[in-house]
Amino acid sequence: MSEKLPNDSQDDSSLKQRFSSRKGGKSKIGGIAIIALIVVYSLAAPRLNTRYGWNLPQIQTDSNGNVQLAKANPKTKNATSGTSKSSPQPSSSKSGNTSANKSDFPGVSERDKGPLASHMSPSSRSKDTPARGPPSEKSETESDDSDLLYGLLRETSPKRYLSPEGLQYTPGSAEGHRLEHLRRHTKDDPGRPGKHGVFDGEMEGALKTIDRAYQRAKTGQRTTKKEDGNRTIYTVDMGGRVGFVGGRDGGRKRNPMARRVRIVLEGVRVITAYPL
Amino acid sequence: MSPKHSIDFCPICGGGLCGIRICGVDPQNAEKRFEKLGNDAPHGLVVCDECEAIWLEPDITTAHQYPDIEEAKCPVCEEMLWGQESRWANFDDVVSLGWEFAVNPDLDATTDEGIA
Repeated sequence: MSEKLPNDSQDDSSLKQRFSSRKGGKSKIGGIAIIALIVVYSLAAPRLNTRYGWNLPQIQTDSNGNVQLAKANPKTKNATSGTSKSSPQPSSSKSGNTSANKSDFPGVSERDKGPLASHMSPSSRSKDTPARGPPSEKSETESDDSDLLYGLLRETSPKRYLSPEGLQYTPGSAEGHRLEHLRRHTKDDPGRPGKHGVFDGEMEGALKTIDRAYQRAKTGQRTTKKEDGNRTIYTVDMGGRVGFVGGRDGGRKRNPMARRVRIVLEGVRVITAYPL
Repeated sequence: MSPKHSIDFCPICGGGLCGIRICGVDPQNAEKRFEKLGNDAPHGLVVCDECEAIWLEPDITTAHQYPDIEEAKCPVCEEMLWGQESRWANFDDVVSLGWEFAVNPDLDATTDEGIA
């Protein structure tokens, strides 16, 4: 027993050392975890603020190098309220307003103005985010998406729109504009003789589907091509549902799904397009 | 804006109706039409309501033509195809053109009103 005492004391001291080294290890791990959390938070906070309209405080480092949470960013609030109340800007041109919005409202990311902007409904955006500018400037759909009509089409000159795949939508047709003609194919016309192709997804869905079809047509993927003078007629198998067949004939057959798209072009200018 | 009376489906685009259109119906332009055409009587066209192919006779096996994509004009009188001078023909219009023989009644619109 007496022989064990020195060993016990040795064990105790070694245990203490091991304990203290473990304690040090744990505190190191804890420290790393805290730093990792700070890094994750500092990266995520601005994105969450932008996406959900929150006002999470940002992490700042003071002059002594101490990390601390900053108060809610007053610059954002001032910029928003200041522009909307005290200094309304004249709506001289769309591009002017767009650039003003970009610079004045840091909460507005470029992504909001991109193709995905169409997925953000105006009502939900205005509800979730603070006002970004004078309400009189433009409607919500026009303002942030002013560059992209239906979240997809860029206005190259007045009333002329260019799709990402290079299709042009110009004035013309009985409806006055090719886009208005296309709108006929976003809803059924049950009384129309024969078939009437209807795209899924309203105008945005129709335009995206047409662009996808044209992308396939250009590469000849599941496409039949017919040329007649300066007109080109593509029929593209999209490999899945893109709409349904309406009209009288479609109605008789309980509106079967459409998986092909026909596009009639003159050069790159769209005459008409519809699913079949 | 579907045609009221059509003769067939479009042989070019497949999805359109070859509808009968009457042109030269604006009485205020009668004098101008007379100067241009030698008479002021309305004339008929067959127009696809999808691809805008135009036939000058109620027979789609004859030659067709396309109007300007942005400023579609009647190839006969050169007035705007979708303007005041022209409309989808109702049955009286079709009879006045003498084209009733070409009408496919299965392709008639449900109603015969209010379509320019």
